[in-house]
Amino acid sequence: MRRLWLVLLVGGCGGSNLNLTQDEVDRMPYESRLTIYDGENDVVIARSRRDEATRQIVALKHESDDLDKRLDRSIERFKKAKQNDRISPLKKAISARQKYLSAQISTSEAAVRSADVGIAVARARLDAVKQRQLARTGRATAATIEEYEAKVASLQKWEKETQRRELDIRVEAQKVFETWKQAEEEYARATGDFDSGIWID
Amino acid sequence: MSPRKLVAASLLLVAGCASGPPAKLPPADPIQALQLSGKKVDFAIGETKRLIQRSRGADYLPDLYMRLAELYSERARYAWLVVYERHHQKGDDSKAVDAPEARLLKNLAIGVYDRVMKEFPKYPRDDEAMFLMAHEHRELGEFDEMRSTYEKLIETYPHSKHRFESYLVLGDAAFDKGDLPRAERYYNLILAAPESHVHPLARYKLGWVKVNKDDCKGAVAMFEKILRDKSTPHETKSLVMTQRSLNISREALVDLAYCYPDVYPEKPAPPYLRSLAVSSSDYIAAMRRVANRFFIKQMYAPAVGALRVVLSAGVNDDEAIETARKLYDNIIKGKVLDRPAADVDVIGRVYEHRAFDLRMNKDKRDKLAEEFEIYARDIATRAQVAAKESKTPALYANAAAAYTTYLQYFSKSASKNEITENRAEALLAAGQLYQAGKAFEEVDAIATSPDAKKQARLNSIAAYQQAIEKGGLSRIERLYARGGIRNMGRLVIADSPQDPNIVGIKLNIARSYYEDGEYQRSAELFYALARQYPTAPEATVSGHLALDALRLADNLEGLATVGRRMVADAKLGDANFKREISDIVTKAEQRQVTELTITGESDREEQLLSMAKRHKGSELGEQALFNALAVARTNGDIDRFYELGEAFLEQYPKSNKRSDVTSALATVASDRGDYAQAATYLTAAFNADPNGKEATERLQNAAQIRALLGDATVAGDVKKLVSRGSHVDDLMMVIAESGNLPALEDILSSSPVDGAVADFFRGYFALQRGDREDAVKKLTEAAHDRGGGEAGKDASARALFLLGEIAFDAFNAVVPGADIGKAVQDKNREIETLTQAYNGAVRSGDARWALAGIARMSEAWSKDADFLRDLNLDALSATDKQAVRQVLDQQMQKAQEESKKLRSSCAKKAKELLVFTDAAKACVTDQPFQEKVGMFTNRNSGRKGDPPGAAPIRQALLKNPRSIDSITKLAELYLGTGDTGVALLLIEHAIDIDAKKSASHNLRGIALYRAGRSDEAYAAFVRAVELDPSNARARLNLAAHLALYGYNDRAMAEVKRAGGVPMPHGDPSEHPELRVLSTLSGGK
Repeated sequence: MRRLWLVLLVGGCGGSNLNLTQDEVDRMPYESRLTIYDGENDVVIARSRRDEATRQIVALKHESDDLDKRLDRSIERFKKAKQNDRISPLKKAISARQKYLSAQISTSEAAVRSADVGIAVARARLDAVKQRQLARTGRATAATIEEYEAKVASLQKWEKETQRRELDIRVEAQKVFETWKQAEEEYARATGDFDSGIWID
Repeated sequence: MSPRKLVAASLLLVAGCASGPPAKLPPADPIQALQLSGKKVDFAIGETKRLIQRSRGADYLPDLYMRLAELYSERARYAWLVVYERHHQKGDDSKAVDAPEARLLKNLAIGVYDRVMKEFPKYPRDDEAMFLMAHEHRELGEFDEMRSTYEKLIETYPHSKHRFESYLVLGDAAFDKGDLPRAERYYNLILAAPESHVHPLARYKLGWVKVNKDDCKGAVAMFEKILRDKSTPHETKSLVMTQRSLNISREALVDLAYCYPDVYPEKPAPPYLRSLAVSSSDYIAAMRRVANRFFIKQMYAPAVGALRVVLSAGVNDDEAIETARKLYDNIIKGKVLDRPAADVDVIGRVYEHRAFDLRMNKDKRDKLAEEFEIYARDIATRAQVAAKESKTPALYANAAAAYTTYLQYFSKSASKNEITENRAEALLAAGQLYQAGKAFEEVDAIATSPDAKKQARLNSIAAYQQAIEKGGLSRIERLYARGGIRNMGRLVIADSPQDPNIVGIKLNIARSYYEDGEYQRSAELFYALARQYPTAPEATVSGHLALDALRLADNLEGLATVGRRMVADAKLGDANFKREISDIVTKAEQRQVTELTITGESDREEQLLSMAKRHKGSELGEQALFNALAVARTNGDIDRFYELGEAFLEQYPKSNKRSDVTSALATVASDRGDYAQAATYLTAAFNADPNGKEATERLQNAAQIRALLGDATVAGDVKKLVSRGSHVDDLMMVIAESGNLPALEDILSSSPVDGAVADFFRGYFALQRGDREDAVKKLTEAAHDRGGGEAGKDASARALFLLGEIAFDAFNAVVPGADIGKAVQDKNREIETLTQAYNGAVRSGDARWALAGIARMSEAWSKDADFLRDLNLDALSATDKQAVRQVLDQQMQKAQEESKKLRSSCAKKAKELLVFTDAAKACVTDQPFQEKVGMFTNRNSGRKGDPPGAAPIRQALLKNPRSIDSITKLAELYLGTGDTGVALLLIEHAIDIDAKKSASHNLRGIALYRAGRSDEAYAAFVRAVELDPSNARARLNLAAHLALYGYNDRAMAEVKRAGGVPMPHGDPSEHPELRVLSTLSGGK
């Protein structure tokens, strides 16, 4: 539900009616054009951040699936070599790694949420910039700028909140890394096998 | 038939026509065809004979005979061909067949030719008839008749066009008989004549004569001349009408090849023959011949070269198999292994073209495959042996290429595995490392024994790694090589986990990920290696690489975590390693903080805070929090800045950044008008770094603020400043002016401060507590100390005035006693002393205290006059009384005049200098001067906390610290509460931001007036009016201020300029005494 709301919000922000024609933009002073281009660039950067986070999620999920397959191969190898006693400890080690990956995915998902808000902020800022330029050229009253800037401020506040949440999740993920490494060490200690789940399969 | 039936029938007919198979032609019988042709000739013979019979006496009769002879000759040919074909069909390919019919016909032809020559001796074609007759003799094997006929032709017809042909035939006949000199003579007879169509043939024949005479050089010269002669026909053509067609240039080229090895043993044949060849087929034919000749002469290398050319021209001709065999023979015999790959390739191609050739039966094909596989394998293997002997990488490369080619053609050979292995080894020895890596992978795939597999994998990994290290690989090759290292490495690890090479292999695998840019994965593996083999030499390298990979992955968090784990691992590395790792981690963390700080990301503050939270208490946490603080300030998030600043000071009380933080906090506090807080932060900044470059300045600023605010704690600041040797004169003046005299007393009592100001205040306080002696002493010292800047001068002037006041007190203390004369004398002495003392103040140059001194002297003279008037003389006799009264009256009058004069002078000077003190006011308004002069008349009601309404203004100031409107509003609020100290600081700040704002100066005037600094208030009002003459409020305030001190004319002038007297509203920017203007106006 929250995600849906977010999408609606982002979508709503995108539907700005501040459509300056290219001709209008071309007629603007250099500084104004630069400001608008900067705003547009910010939107692109925000989108790139979201894309990067999404790509990261895909890569992590792929790695997670791959890990399952590697575990299957390891189990098969253990069975062939009559080393069944290694199966359970390895499952634990792999499970710890899966948890780490899962935490990483959560971090990336948080980054996506954060990026979504970032896009909304960038768009709102662009709208505000355009509105200011409209006011400068007499196509809008100066009083209307306030509304846009209020929206930017409100979104920025929300952005900070999502960023804070993202960082908290990231910190938690780093703790899971420790757990994973400990699980690997335990497996190696118990079986003398330093290779399964790391170097082979 | 109905139309429908007709159509159907037509369709059937058409369908039938279209669908039926074409009728097969019966196989052609060549004999039948020849017989048929013979019959046609028979018919022609009959017709010709009939024509001859009908043409007796005709001119063309000899032509008809010639035709008849030719027809007989033609018919004889068919007769011979029929016999030949019959023999041929029986399997006899010999051309020496007996054809009686043919012989008969040829004899008939000879007879006809003879008749023509005899019956028509003038017939122009007689020479031709003789030539053809000679030819028929030749055909019949009647060589003597033939020779005599040709010789007769040459003799009878020396200009006949057939004479060269005759020579040629005669030469050939001599040649055939082995009479080479005779043959040579005939050919030379032709060559001696002008060039003709038979010359090339004569040369060709002569060439062969030379060959037979073992004159190869001469033969080659002849053949070369034919080939270089442009008139030589290049197509198959009959040069002698009675002989078969011949391609003379081709024959010459091919036959030249015969002698080539003898004439040009060192010269490569292909370019030479190619230059002479007219067509590729001629060239190849010549190369074939020359190859044979080389082989015969055991010149294998050139033979190989020639055969390569022959095979390169076509591997699918009938002779290719044999040529390939020859090629192999020559290679082996000559050990010609310079191009083994190409040779294997050509052998493979020859085989390949027959591998699926159904014209060959399977058995033959299989045998060919077996034979050619051996050839190819033998060549490649010999090439490797040769490379091993010479130890030359280039030869190894050739051998490897040969093996590669071999495997392309004979992939199903039983020797495939062996060859694959050989190839890999050859590639490795050739230094083709990348290819060798791949080849060993192939060996691994086909090897059956575990040892062979393992060795192949190890070799593959080593080859790939060396290839990568050597460089020069394309991007895709690098990727492939790294993938190979990983695949092979995994297999070795899985099968031989205890192998001594495993550490190196693992390192290589990790490196392959590293080099592929998969830093996260490579870091995991490097770290895994370091953990597993902590004492191996590779462990520390691996540890470093793990951190480096994480750094490149931009995973500084991970770097710190892994780094710490490595440091904590007791088995891993020595103390030096751990130190290095710790250093890397620290630097990485610092870098992370720096990067987070400088990044343009919107969440940098949050990230820094998150980091600070995670590393709370550590140096990194401290740095992160500090940078977060800086970011908050840069972002203008002052609330956050305060919050973080406080958190920093709380969490890191001993941080060396405390002074920076507190200093920054102070600046921000100052910006938002929170001066008490600013002073606190400044003191904290000083305490955090008392020896810092800016420490003293910070303390001075703190003290300055506190002095203005009347804060008692300023004493501590000043004492510290004194102990650091700082000048505190101005500060002490400000403290006194703010009414904070106890703090000043504290400073003076416990601090070794000296100078005019300190002496003055010590005298002042001594006077306050009634210690006149000490007061006089200190004030006198202060009065005579003219140093110390403005504050010192001010103190000296004040001291001089106070000394006057002490004298004034002494003057007042003289009361009339019983001895009137003594009393008068004492009074006179005191007034003299007093005058002397006040004159000091008058001469001080400070108008305030000069006027006060004059005013006080005037008052003293006035009092002296009263004293003299009120003296009770009743104790004197009447006579004495009258005389004394007269004297006293004179003195009284003089005193009154003196008083009046001084007051007049005071008023005049006050008006002239516009001095705004009580003394000046008294003089100007002619009012009595006050009994006690308030030296420090601050009306500051002290600090009462923030006035109502201040919070939102402060909030606004947080957003925009340079908002003059906000600062001014806040100042007005403080003025309203009587906190002139804060108000003045705020207004000074507003003026710092914009010194040309009239309203600010006006407000400053109000604040200064309220602080008891009327002179400065006047200057502020004047400045406000100067900056904005239309500022009616400032002008009226100026007017009120003037009026308040009695400068009514000036005040009225200002009122007039302001446009009238307003009603006071009690506005903070209004002069508190504005109502005085109403009185003034009413008075008028």
